[in-house]
Amino acid sequence: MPYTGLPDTYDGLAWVSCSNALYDPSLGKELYHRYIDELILAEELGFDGVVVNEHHSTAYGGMPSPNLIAAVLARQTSRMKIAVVGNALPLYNPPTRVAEEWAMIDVISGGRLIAGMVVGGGPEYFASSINPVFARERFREAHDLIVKAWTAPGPFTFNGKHYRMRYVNPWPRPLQKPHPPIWIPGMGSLETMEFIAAKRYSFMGIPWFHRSVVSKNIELFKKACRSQGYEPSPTQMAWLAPIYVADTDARARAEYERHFWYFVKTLLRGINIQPPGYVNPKSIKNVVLGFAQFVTNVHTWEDVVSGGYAIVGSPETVRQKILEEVRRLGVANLLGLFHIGTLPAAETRRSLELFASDVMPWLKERSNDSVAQTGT
Amino acid sequence: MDATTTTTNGVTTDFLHGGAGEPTFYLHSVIGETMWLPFCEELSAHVELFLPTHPGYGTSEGFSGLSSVEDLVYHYLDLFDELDLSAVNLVGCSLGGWIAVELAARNPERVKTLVLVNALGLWLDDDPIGELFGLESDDLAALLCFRDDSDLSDYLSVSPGLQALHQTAPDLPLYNNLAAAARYGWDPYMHNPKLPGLLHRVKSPTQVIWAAHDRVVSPNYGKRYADYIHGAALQIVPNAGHILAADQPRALSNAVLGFMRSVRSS
Repeated sequence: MPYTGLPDTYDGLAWVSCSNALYDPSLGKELYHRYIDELILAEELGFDGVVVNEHHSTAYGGMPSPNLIAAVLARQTSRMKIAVVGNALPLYNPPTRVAEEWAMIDVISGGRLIAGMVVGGGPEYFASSINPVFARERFREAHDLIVKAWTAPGPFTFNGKHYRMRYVNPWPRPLQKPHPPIWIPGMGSLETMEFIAAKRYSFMGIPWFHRSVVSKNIELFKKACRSQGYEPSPTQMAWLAPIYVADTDARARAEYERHFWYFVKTLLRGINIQPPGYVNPKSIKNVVLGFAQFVTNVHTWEDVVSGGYAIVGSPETVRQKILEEVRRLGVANLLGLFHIGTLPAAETRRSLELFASDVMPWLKERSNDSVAQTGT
Repeated sequence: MDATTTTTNGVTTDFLHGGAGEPTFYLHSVIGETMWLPFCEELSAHVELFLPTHPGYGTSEGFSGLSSVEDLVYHYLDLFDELDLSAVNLVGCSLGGWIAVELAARNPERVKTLVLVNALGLWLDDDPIGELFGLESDDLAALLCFRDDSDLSDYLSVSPGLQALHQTAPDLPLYNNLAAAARYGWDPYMHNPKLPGLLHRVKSPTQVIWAAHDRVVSPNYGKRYADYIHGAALQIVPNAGHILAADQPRALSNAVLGFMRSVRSS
């Protein structure tokens, strides 16, 4: 849900220090309604679900609270999954707030919530003053508390290092049993992979990296599952990629490219700010290496295409590229990011429609359990 | 000079140690200058100098339960007990100054003299502490050092003696050390809101030394410490920034030794 109204001359970061004096609430109103309409359109077009996510103090997206958007969708849609990927658990104190809001969404939507749990991006720790050194400890502890709050009868007492609650007893409880499916994205931290694998949750690759980074992370996850003694099913893994479909390859690029670059050059500026201790010092080298292949270091369209940073083209091109990638990665959940940067509403809608009519059914025929979702 | 590691209450302390005379601790800054640098040579010609690595910095271990400067104070009290030192001279720069002053306030009987150098620990609303985190390394160096030719990389290594003891060294020392700084000072940002209410308890002779061009904590912070601590004098060092040991090592050792001499002769 990017903000499209930054002045043309703005050349600062889009995160943390980007002054909210630049935010025009009237434009914001138009954008919210437009973006929500696009998410609802996804259900009408036959998508299996939509994904919303959380970021703070940024022009990158208008969803400091994705749960509010998910609540709107819970009421205004009736069939598709609503994936909140995620709530940045360490930012919530007490984390039972997350258990409560997600249970509400799950109950209102009739059991359609996917619960995405994230540590949150680096900028979140500047925006919230939560200590990044303890981000991962807090994440694990908040996860334990939320899952227990959903599955164990309350009230009970929770005594952790970071959270201590004498009366854990959130109402309502979620509709799905034992609890909504849990998805966790990862940037390549081995600890995170092992955690997801041990819990048999679903792993989601993070976009904006070179395709080799995505496949390396998927491979790490498969390895982590094997060391737990099982082979992950394709439905336990998701791949998220920006997608744009138009009638021809040339037209797709012509309509899409400048909006993509606006997103990369303006709205992503500052997303990779690294607060101290946010990454375990033992993993920091890998993360630094990964960021060398982050999209902000890409400068030509040829590199965007060859690196798989976005899947753009005619229906036939997009079909072949996605099928190749899905087969290479062995994943069954495809998350398409259909709106990007300043891409106008008409183009976004047209691309969604073409994908739904000319790509999605073709892909589903070739993969029994392939699930297509739209992200934002 | 020798390198030692000792464990108290499950937490390791790495330290360098040299010279003879009154036991004197240099408590290092936010970036973790733990090498035996020229100013250590100068000081250890006159005192028995201990240069400990704060838990979380360098190759230290066992610090996962520590999260505040108060925790570090009790850690250092444990270390003094372990080394059988009843009272010591404390010289603390930046984060080290904050630890030193909290220790002197909580357990004044353990501190013989106190030198605060560009100490963190206080907060002035109209002159906030500079942002240490999220900076590119060049910008960080410009924030911390006044002189263009001060090279922080000399200060961030782990001394060969300690590396040999642990047979390891951090991959990225600056990242590792800033994570340690954030552990104790991310929120409240590099200060303890209750510290002003403790400073009347500092009983030792105290010298406040401040770099004229400190861009992290301006000399206004030095004035405030000198106001709060009974009998403390403020000395401004020209042409220097936050990491005084990097910018003006000789001025630092001269100021510390001069103060100690004046205490002895009074």
